[in-house]
Amino acid sequence: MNRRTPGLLAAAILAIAALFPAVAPAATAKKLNGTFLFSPGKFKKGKAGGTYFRMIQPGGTVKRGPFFANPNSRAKDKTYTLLKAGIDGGLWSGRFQDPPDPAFAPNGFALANRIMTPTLFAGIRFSLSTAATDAQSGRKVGVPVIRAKGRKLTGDVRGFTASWNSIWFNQGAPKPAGNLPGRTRKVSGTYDPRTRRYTITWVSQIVGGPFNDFSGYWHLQGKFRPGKYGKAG
Amino acid sequence: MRRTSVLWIRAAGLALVALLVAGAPAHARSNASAAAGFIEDAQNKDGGFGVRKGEPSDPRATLWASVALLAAGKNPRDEFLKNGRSADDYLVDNRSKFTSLGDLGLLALIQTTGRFGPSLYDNPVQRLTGELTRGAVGSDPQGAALAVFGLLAADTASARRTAGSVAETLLDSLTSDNAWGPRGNADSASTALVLQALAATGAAGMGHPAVRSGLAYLQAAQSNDGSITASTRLDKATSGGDVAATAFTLQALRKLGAPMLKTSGGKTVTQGLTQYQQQSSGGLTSKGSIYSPVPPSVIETAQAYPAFNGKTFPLARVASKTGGPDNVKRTGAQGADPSSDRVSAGTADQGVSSTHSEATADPGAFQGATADGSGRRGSGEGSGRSAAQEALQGAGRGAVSGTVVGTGPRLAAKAGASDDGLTNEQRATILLCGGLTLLFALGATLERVRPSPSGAPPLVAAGQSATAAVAPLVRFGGAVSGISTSRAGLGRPPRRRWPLLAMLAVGGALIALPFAVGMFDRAPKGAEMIKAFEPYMQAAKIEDFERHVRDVDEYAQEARGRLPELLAPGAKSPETARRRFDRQHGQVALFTQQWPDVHRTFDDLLGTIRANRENYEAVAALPSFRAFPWFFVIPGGLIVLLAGAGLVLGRSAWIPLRRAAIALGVGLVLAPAVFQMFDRAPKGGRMVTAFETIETRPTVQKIQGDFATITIGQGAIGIDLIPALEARGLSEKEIGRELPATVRLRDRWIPILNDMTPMIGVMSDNVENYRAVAALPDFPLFIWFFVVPGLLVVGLAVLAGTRPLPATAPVRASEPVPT
Repeated sequence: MNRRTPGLLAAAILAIAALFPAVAPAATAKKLNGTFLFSPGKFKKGKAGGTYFRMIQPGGTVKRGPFFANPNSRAKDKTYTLLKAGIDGGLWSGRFQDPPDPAFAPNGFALANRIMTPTLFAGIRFSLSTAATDAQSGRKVGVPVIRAKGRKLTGDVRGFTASWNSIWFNQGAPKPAGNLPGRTRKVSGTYDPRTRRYTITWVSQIVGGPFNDFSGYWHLQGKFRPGKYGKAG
Repeated sequence: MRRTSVLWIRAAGLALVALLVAGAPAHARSNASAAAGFIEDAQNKDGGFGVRKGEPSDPRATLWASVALLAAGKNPRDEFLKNGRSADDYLVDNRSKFTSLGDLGLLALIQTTGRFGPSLYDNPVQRLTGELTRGAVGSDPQGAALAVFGLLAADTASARRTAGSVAETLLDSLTSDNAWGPRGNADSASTALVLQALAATGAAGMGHPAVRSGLAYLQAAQSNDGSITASTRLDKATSGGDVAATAFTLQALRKLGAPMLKTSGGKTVTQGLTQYQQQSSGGLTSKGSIYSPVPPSVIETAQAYPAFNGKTFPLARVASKTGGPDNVKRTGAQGADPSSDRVSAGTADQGVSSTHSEATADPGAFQGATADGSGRRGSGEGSGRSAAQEALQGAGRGAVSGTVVGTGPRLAAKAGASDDGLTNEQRATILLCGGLTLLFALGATLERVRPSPSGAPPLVAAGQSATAAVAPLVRFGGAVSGISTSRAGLGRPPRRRWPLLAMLAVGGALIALPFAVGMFDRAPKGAEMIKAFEPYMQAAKIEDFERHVRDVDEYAQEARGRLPELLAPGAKSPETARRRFDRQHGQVALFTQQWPDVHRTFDDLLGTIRANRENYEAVAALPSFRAFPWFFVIPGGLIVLLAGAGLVLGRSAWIPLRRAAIALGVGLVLAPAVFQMFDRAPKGGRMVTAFETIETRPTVQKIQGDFATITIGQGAIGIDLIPALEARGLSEKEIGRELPATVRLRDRWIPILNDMTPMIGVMSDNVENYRAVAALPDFPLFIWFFVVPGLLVVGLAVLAGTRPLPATAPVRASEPVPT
């Protein structure tokens, strides 16, 4: 063995090692069960933030629209409908937030007030709920599930349903049958485990009813409160 | 008799049957009978009624349900499930629970109206008399009013005196709102009941200041949909109507002979009441609506029923017909419909009709009104108008029209259904089958007089030997039909076999037709579409939509004219004012620019719907689309069987098979006449063609977009225009005076949305269903899909003929058949 041999040997070992990178255990998606508290929707300097909803007209896109303008919106740009949390503080993952019975006033105003405070949309209050049976299709659905993998969020909110003018509109992603029709896009988002701040978005195309082929773009933002349900603290 | 004569007799008989069936009228169930049916269906085995259907019996719910039954001419003692207890039994069992003025009043009303012994119910009239102090009346005017009805129903001198005294006390018990309510807080239900009680006792009429103020209160409580809210203190825009208040208001108006209360938009109280009737069940609840899934309330439905049916308190007495369940058990009486779970004075299918249990006609929610406003009397009322009808005419003379009935949800179980539950096609089917059977027997009997053939083994001998237990019946049937062991057409096979092969082909073609045109998939979609369109094809509904469009149009005109004048004053010209206005109010400008096109779209849409209303009615009255494929498959299968049997059995059984084939062929020929397809099918075809332009995805999307345009324009009223006008110093009153259409659209927007969005939803949801119907063969062709095969089958059966008898001496009937 000469003087170069240890060096060559080390280089060979390194080269071989490089062919087998360390197999660190892959990060698995973790269910986040608790309350996704809503920051109130806001519109400032031409930008929307917090929790809001936009309705995309048939054939439109999230980026360019066209969007349905809600005359009752508090935002300067009426295509944004700003939302406020309901008595539960926001959306629960891991549990249902059933609508009340009755779910509508005789004039069609939605009465659900757990996820969000009922808000005027085209003159009639709409609201949100999640339940074991999807009100629009009658299908059985699971609880809303949000998962975090690192800082990325995914989820399944197939039971997420809007109520307006005595009509139910499923706004889940995927849909109760598990599909992603039309413009429907999966739940995605970001999450900071340290501050617990999150942003979740998805698109859900309306299937059937007077707004058939319109799509709802949902932007939820706020803080996650793990393991806690009930009224916002 | 010649063979051809026999065939003509059969054909004539079938034609007669068809004419009888074709003339049968059809009705739809009215708001009243649907509500009454809901109540009757809600009864439990213990005789009581729950607050909602399926819930355990509740004393108060049973009280109100019993009142409603009496209002419909049904005695609570006669209402019970089989092996169950009656409503009367339940009330007796629970009599100690009724202690309030209102409950005792209702109990007294039931006891006296139903002619029950007072002691059975613990003398409610007597108990009431002791409870009706000044203080009690003043603090519970609603209960006191119900007590008045109970006392008046007792119809004794002392009860009448007490009722009068209570009425006088009520006149002194007005609240600060100049109405009536518990503990000084006025509410609509109390006010309406007190007004009715005052009129019933004669204590006060239309001229009395208290009555006028009470009516003013109810007018103030009337919401945009015509219903009456629970109180004037509630926000009418959000709280919605109250069923009890609305129903009692209707009764009060009738009793007083007062004009109908209407909103500024022309909605009547009756129209308001119908908004809370669930289309599917006929029940009502203040928390529900026509399409709402909220379970209706038995109490509210029972409170609404007398109002729907034109009845006021007290009610006419109704004697028990069955004597109750114990009597029925003793006597073994079954009730009118042995197959039902109910024992009722009428049939279970009738339920509680809107007139009385024996009535077959149901003219609608108001007995005096008609769908065409002709003033034709309701049936079951005899030759003269009843007091209720006279009072009804007084209540809004000219305001109650036939359109009121149509305005509410049409609760027809099926278009073309009668109140006995049988649809036209069911009755037609039953009569047709019965007629065919009779004619078959008639023809066969006539055949008996012909010389019978000899030889050959009998057709039914094997059957007879196998059914020894019913042999006498079979022999009788065989003798009547001509198919007997000694008289069967044995030895007389078809003269020609090829017509039977052709008949096989005809049958096969009939079976194949539904598959070839995709009927099994498309016809049910057509049925769904017909059902979904039903609410929107009513004249009153179309008028509502036309009015909505007019409201928007009038606003658009103000937005181009008066609004710019008011918001851009000082402009040199109207055009300058408009330009300035458009700059400052961009959303409104966008709306007014787009409105003419939107207006045209809606006018075209509503015009097409209106023009095809009759065509829709015709299609809806046809047999259910779901059954259509079977109307071909079943006869086709029978033809194949008959032809095949004729080919195989021939010698053994050709004559009876031939008769059956001819009868079936005649039935097919007559079926279009029986189902009135000659009139209805072309109308259906016209409707399908007309809807081609509106039931398309692009049209629906255009309408959705137009709806967004209207929303923008309307939304600007509240958030932009009114604030701008107020900033210029105009008061609410002045704005209303200057811009009535703008204010009207603001105030009517929610009911407009309530109407429009479901309609857009139905249009959108039925695009595929429409395509399925449009892909079927033209409707008029269906007539010939019956007639042509029918004629072919008859002709081929006749052509097939029978071979002549062998050349032997004729066998006289008295001679034994040689073996």
